[in-house]
Amino acid sequence: MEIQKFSYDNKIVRLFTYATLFYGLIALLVGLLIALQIPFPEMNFKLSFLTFGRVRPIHTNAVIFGFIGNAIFTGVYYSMQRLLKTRMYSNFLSRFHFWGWQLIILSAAVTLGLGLSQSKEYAELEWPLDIAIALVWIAFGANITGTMIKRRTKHIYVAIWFYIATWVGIALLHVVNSIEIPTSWFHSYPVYAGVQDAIVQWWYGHNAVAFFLTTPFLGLMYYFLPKVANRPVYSYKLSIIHFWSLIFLYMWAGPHHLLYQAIPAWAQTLGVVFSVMLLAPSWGGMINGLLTLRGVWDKVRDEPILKFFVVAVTAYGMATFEGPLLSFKNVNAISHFTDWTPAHTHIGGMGWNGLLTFGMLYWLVPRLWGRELFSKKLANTHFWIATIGMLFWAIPMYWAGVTQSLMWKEFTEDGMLAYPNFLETVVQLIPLFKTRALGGLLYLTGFIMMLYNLRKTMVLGKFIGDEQVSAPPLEVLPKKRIGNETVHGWLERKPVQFTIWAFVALAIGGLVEIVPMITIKANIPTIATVTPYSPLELQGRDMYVREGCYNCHSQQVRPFRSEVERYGDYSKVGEFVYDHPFQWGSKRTGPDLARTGVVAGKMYKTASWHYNHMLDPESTSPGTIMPAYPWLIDNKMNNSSLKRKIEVMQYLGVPYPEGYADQALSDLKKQAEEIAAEIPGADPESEIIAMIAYMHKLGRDISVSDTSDEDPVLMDFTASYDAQVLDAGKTFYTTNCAACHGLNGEGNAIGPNLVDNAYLHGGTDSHIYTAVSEGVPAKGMQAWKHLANKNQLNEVTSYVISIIGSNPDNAKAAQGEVFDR
Amino acid sequence: MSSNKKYQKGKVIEDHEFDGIKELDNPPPSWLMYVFYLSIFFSVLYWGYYHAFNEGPNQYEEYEMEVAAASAVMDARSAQLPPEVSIASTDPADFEAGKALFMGKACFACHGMNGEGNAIGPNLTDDFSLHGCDFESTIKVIKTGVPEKGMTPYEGQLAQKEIEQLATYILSLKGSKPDNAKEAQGEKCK
Repeated sequence: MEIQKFSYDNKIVRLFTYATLFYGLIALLVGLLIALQIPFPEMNFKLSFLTFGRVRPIHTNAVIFGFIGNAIFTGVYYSMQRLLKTRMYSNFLSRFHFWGWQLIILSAAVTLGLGLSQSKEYAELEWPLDIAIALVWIAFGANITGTMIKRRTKHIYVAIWFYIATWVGIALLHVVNSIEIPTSWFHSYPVYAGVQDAIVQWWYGHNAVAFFLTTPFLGLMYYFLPKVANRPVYSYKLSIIHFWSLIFLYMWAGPHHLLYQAIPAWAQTLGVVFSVMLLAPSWGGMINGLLTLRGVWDKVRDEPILKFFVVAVTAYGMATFEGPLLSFKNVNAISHFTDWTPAHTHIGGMGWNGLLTFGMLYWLVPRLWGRELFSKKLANTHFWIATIGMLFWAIPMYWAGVTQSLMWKEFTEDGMLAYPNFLETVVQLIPLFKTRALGGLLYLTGFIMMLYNLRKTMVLGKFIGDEQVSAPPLEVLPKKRIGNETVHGWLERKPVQFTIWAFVALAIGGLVEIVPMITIKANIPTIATVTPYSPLELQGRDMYVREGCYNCHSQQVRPFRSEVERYGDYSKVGEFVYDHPFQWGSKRTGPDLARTGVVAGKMYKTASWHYNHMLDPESTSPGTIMPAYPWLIDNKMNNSSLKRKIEVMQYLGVPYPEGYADQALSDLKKQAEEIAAEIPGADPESEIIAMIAYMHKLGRDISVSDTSDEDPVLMDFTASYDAQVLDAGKTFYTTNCAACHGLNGEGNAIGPNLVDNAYLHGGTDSHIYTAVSEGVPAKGMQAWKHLANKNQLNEVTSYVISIIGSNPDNAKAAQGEVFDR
Repeated sequence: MSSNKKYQKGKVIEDHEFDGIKELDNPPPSWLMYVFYLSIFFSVLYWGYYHAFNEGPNQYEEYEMEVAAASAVMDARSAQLPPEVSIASTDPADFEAGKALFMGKACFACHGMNGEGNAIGPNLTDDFSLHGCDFESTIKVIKTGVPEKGMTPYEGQLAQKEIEQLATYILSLKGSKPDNAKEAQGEKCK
């Protein structure tokens, strides 16, 4: 038989190895910084680009796409060539993939620091980078497909199945979740709103874990673990079963991130049951890995690489057991929004992804540089320090999560929240936050040991760029099944068909969940009082998105007595219809903000409170760990793309009146003047004003009664001039009305002047009575019919009418239309 | 190893070697398959209970049940309690407790460390008041707040006793003439 000579491209593996090490160091350093910023908020340094809300996405992106991503490509480019007995299809595509990916991550770090973010978790990057990711991903796909086609082995090995699923899965998720409309070069609105956006985003978010952190690493495990152990894989059948069930089931489980939140019940149930069904398929990978080590456990004792692998696979088993557990609604009710979630993710990230990567690098570098590892002892020390670091990270966070959740939920005997001040529940956790940072420091220390160890190995060894090998060519195979070949055996020699079937398995779950959410109206009942954001509120919302406030604040009150008591009415499906993107968040390091605009609500704070709080959080909330945002006060609002933003919103179906884009700026200025007037020394053009406007919009629309946007039915009334009635009316007025309309009806910062000849709601006796009785909830005027009896309404209205024209001191400027009584 | 019996050694599958990696023809461990079947069975039951047969409560019904259970307990409790008393206390212990609440609840954030008032809240130490000077009115302001001006309602956060203690402390500040006192607002007290 003819033997062909060819070479493996080790240079591309080397490039990705360098990138893995570089971004691993950056990601861990940034992680340590944000871990310290929680107990020591002064470590935000009052600099926008170093503030937690912007730096935490840099950490997650650097870990996931920088460190773990490059580790995947290192392993894929190394193993794929050898498993298929061929060089990668195209040197150019390999390099394009490498440099494109590094450029994207570098741009990600810069743009996220600058606040150019969509604030969708793990999909924060703005639209030009989304397009770049798609291009690079296509290049990667073309390269691996080409390589599979020109292979010299009959079948494709299980590791490669997982690489295929990775490629298809990420392509699908990234494209669907990134459909957005630009408003400028660095800003866009996603086409999905509110509940839809939440479903799409967590379908993405959950499956980014599946297809970026799980399937590629299972592929790497299936290559590197049997290689290092020098043992056959325990069960080929198990590989087949757990591969297909895993990729099919994963795509359905996304809604478990939204349990007890404002999404339809059927979607939540799918999230629960598919997560439960994922347990066995996930464990299939762990079991196949651990049973492969059967008979060589003695090797584990003195081979640090196998130690890394065993703990990595065990961490995978723990995390995938915990996943279904956290998907039970009663467990989720405790764990969600607390530090339990980061504890869970870090068992996966530090344990499964981190330790497996370290083991892989300790094996690869000596092979690429043709010399044994510089120090096995140092690698062993790294293993122990990394494992202990991981435990120091995770255990305090499990503790913190449960502690805080129980504090949130505890009621006193009198039926009041035992810890009504959110801050009390945070201060309690500070020692645990410090221990977590220590865990991170240990893990980083181990990483630096590895850098030294690998660097030494590289310097002392000699790199082999093109590894010369030879193999016979692949015989031409029939298209149909041969003899007693199984269907799967046939599929394993048909990589393109394999890819198509993987796509089908992946697409079903997403289709079933996302399509009805967008097309069936009954899934999102509308609420009549919910209005679009005013231009100023929209600008404020975009700042909220820019600063990454969602990293610490949720906007989702779950239907629990403890949450309704603490925050206000629970969140409704229909109240988010204008939210592009949704900002429900997944972690409450600070309190929920969904009800900060409900006047008379528990979360309401005045404009000047917000102003002082953002400038110096300690001044209003002693002991807080909220960082200061002085730049919101120093920066002037940038309204250059406001017109375009309104137009894009209209295009997305937000019902601004036609031509509103031209009027937006003047409306914005008017509202800003009004808010700034309530705050001593505030500049109406500074960014903080928009942020306050947004805070005062949150939840306000659903707190007003249903009829508020229509004029109430006019009620017949004639004022009395009886002295006794007027006297009683005056008493009522002084206690109940003076706060907003002044002691003598002269008006103040809140309510209008009642005694001039201008009227906002009509000037006849009947009009005035109606305004008192029905209120003007949208503006904060109570409907007094709920709070006073008929006689009192008569008395107070008569009194108010009797003082019209009295010309008091400090009278407020006239508002509304002039009417002569 | 004892598990050798449970997990058979298996034969190497021919024609299936990849860069030196071989695979065995072992079946998947049966317990794992049972876990898988059980989880599917559970899922069908779960779906049936909550959706197909609509037996289980949805999250809003669960909420109503939780609130109803809590208010039943509260009602039973309040039936046994003596009626509320509203007279300013003269007990120094109540004064100290009130002072601790003034600090603990961060009243000073808006009313100053010594009740002198600041850019947000009014002066509590002068002889003027926006919402009444007596004990009853003070209690009322603490309880229901003045939300439109930013005063938080503390009814759900403090017990009746604590509200009384806090009011006792606040009223004791009248006439204390602290530094940086804010200008008077509201009506002169009688």
